Amino acid sequence: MSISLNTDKNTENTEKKEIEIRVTAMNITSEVYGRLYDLHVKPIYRFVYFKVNSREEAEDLTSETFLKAWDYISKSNKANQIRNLRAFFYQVASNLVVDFYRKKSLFPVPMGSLETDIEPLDDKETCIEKMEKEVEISEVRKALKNIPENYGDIVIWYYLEDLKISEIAQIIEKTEGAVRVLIHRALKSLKRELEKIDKEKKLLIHNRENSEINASV
Amino acid sequence: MTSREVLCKIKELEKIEPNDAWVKSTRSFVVEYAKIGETKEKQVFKSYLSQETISGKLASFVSSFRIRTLAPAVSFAAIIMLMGNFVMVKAENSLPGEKLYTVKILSEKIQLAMTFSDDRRVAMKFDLAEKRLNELTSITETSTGANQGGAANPAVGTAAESFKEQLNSALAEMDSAAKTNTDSKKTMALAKIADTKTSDYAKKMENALGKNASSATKGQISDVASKIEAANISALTALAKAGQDSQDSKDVAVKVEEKIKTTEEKADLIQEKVLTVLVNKEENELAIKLLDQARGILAEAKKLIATDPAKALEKITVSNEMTKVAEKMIEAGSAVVATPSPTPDIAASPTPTVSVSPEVSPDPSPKATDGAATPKPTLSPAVSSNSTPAPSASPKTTPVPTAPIL
Repeated sequence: MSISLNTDKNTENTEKKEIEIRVTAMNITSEVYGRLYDLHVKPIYRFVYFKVNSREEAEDLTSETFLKAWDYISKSNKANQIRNLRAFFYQVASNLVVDFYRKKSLFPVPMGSLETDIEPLDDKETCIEKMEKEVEISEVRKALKNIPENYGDIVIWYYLEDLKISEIAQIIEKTEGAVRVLIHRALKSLKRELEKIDKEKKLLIHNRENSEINASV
Repeated sequence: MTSREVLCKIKELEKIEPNDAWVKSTRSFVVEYAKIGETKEKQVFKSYLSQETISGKLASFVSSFRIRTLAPAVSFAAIIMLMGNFVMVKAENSLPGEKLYTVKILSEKIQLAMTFSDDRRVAMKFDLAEKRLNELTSITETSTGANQGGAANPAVGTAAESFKEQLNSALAEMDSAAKTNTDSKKTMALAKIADTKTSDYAKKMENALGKNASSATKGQISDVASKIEAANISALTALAKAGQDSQDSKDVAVKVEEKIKTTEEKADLIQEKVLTVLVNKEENELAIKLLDQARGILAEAKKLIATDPAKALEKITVSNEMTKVAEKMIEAGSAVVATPSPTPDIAASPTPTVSVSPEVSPDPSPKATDGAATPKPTLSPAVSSNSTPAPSASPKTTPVPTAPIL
């Protein structure tokens, strides 16, 4: 088994580290798997969270992802065919979400309201700031839900989690060229949606102001 | 809206994070799961046997069924594993009488039931016996302070019993394994395990006896000590019988010689005690005669070390019994308090059926004939019936305690 862990700081965007792991899927020990978990749990959780409705469901599916991935890695004969582990985790997660919804469609559950997305991270945050953040995030989430699902996935993978084109190609089993096209279309689609939401918001505010003016008259 | 703004908004999503506590607990859960699944064997049985922990066994059992809907199986296994690990750690240190003790026993039973190979079963049973012994010593240590007065702690009795039971079970397993398997190397290996384990037990017992001052408790556990000694002799006998080459016989011979030495030392020790404690001339002479006989038999055993170690071990057993009798006399003699103490059986080795020769006890008091297996608490009634208002060191007549042969 060969592991090399290169940690390069991506100075351009945020302090998010770009981590490249070359691990042959065979011979992964539980210890190594623990570290893999550490590296991927948050992105996978995020990815799942955008697709499901609640934190609990996201948690369940995320843990299931790691277990199922392990099963495949440790037991299957084809384990050494996995080219990229990060992409692999997303594949597993993605399939699990699909299964999840398939099962759910048999027992329809009324969709609850979107929960608070952010855990109170910072005490220094005021309530208003937190609400502002939430509003923004919920806007993006809403937009994501309104565009086709595969577009949403691509946006998240490419722009949020900084996956490589080759990795995305592995997940969705398409060529890299196709992936590039998809990325372009997905971003455009999201942009349009966000603009739409923005317009609606402005309209709402405008209407409210008008009605207030009318009321005070 | 510019593309850049869109990208910024997307990046905002980074703030969404899972709950820290959940991340940690899931991590340990996943790693545990991975640890279990670490074996490469595809066969269910093999992965079965390679798991040592209960939760490992259960989880590997569950995961070996490729159930389509993984979720219920996973959560079931998850609950068992998480619960299992947490509870098991707490239960490990529990003692008889505590709430988690039944969990501990239950898990041991399950583990034993899931072990199929002979060697592992034997080793496991000896380990379990060791656990029972540890529990026993813990109890005796804690009951030292409480029971200086002399009343026996019933918990000690039950712990002693369960240890003896477990030891017997281990020996039985070893015997049946010896019968069914043809590989003498294996039999020898098992006998060696038995020997090492029983020697360990003996040391532990010595420590415990040393620490504990209460005479009642001592009585209970010295019985355990003799059982251990008997078990060790059985193990050595098995070893002697299974040994093939000259190296094995040498090892056995060394061990037997050691044993003879320790038995002699014990006899000497008892003799010293006799001289100081037993004031009554008759008893004194009797005890010394017993010890001389014991030493004589040991001398015979010495001659047999090289040629017939099994027989030598038999002789050691007999000599042990005689020494024990002398020891009992001392205990009876030094008993000042009239409260009856439970007389433990004199445990004898299961293999040889040798009777205590009649010359040993030429005394008018009633004594049971050979073969009688009922233990009579002869000491206590004798003490109470003969006790005078002034506590005397030695009652007038002391019937020789019977030596029931088991």
